[in-house]
Amino acid sequence: MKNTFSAYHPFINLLFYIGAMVFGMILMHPAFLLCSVALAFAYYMALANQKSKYLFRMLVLFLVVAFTNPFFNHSGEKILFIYMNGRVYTLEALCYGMVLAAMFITVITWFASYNIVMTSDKFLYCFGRLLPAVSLLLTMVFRFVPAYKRQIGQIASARKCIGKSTENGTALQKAEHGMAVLSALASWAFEGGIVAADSMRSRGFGSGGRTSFSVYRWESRDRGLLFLMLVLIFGIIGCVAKGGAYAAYTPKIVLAGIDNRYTWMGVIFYGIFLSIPTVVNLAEECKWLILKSKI
Amino acid sequence: MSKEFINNHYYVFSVLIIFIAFAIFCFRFEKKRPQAREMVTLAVMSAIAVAARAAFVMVPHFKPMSGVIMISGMAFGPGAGFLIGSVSAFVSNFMFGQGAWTPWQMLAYGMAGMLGGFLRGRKVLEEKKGLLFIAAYGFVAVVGIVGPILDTSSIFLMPDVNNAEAIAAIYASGLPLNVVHGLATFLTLLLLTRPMLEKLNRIMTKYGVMKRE
Repeated sequence: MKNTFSAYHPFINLLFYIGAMVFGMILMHPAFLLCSVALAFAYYMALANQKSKYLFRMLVLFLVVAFTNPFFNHSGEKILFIYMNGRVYTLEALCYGMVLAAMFITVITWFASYNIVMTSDKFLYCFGRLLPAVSLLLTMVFRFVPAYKRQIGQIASARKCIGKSTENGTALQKAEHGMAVLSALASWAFEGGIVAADSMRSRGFGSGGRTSFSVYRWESRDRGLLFLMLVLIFGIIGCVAKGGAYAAYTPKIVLAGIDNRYTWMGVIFYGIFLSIPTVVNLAEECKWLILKSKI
Repeated sequence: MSKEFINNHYYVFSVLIIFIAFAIFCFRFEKKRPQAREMVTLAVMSAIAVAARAAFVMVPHFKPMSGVIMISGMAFGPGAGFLIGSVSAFVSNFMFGQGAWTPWQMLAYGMAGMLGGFLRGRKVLEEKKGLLFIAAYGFVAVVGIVGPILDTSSIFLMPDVNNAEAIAAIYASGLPLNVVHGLATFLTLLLLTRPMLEKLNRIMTKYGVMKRE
């Protein structure tokens, strides 16, 4: 599937992920968690390469975290069994473990799709105006790292010719040869860096304002989505502030019930907010199908 | 915000505090209006720290990053060391994937640079016997400070840390890896400090960058 959501403006992408992750870590009510688990996976599965492997790993992680939690947390009323001279394994701690495990795999999954959507250029664009020096620094590092890796390869193969390969000898000798490579890299890198700095200065770096290149344009669809997202975020915060997402697990499970209208309103807002990327992608797909069918 | 709310969401709030610390640091850096040569020097050092792993692909479990960051701290001072460390951690995570651990790694490697920076201008850096002291200092810094900060990010994985038992378990399980990391740093500092510092000092004298105020 084509990832239309990542074609939106970087600010939209960033705002979505900040919202999804912060709410994902704070909201521990099962209804909210169900929303976030389902929608985080729905979006990532549309983008991922190794779907079944990822799902399997997340399932294992979920089970491990959920079932080990009661070994660390002994509070709770309903005792499932007692082990090792009187320590208790309680139902409440198990439920809490499942909640935390769900939260954990949700955030990991959001990060997995974040790594696909928010490429380094988008990140730099978002902070370029706020922190020009820091983002220029980051840009330079991004450019230098692959160049230096290539240079390390060249230095290492040149040293191989004089019998100082990093592949031979004991671990200590390998480490020593590696250090020599690094040292050679440092001289080369600093000489080049100073030349680059002088070139920057002679082109007027530091003499005034700077513009930065970007390929992003703020379009009307971004404005629409921003408005929707802000409304939903304030809606969720409002519902949470009214106690709609209240959940306590230990020592006694107390949840905000279905009879609480702030709970279901909050869940609806949260569900709509988190389904934005998936819906955007599906809508684009449908639009394309309709356009194709007319030809 | 009630105390209970903050206690229940310790992860979010601890990351928030880290972010505020970074924000203060970044804005101070911006306000200084760094010169081109200073910027490039910082970028080169961070990139070397990130790329350094490529020189040791043949040595398993050898992570030279903390060592290189500490050396740059020794040459350029604690502030620059912190910046180099956190930038390196951030950039290397763009290659290995960002995650909930990113802020902690940035903090931990930043601390490595800062701790290295505390040695700046000290006599040990020139003395013949000082090398062993520097390497030991690096080992202690990694096992005692940098490693535990990295481990702290897994309070997210080991969720219920409301009792000391669980916290102790997390740090104890991280110890073997931290010792390996510490040994790598020890070796890096032992072998690389002298040649690297010579080069960095030469750059500083020759081109007048990053001079001490």
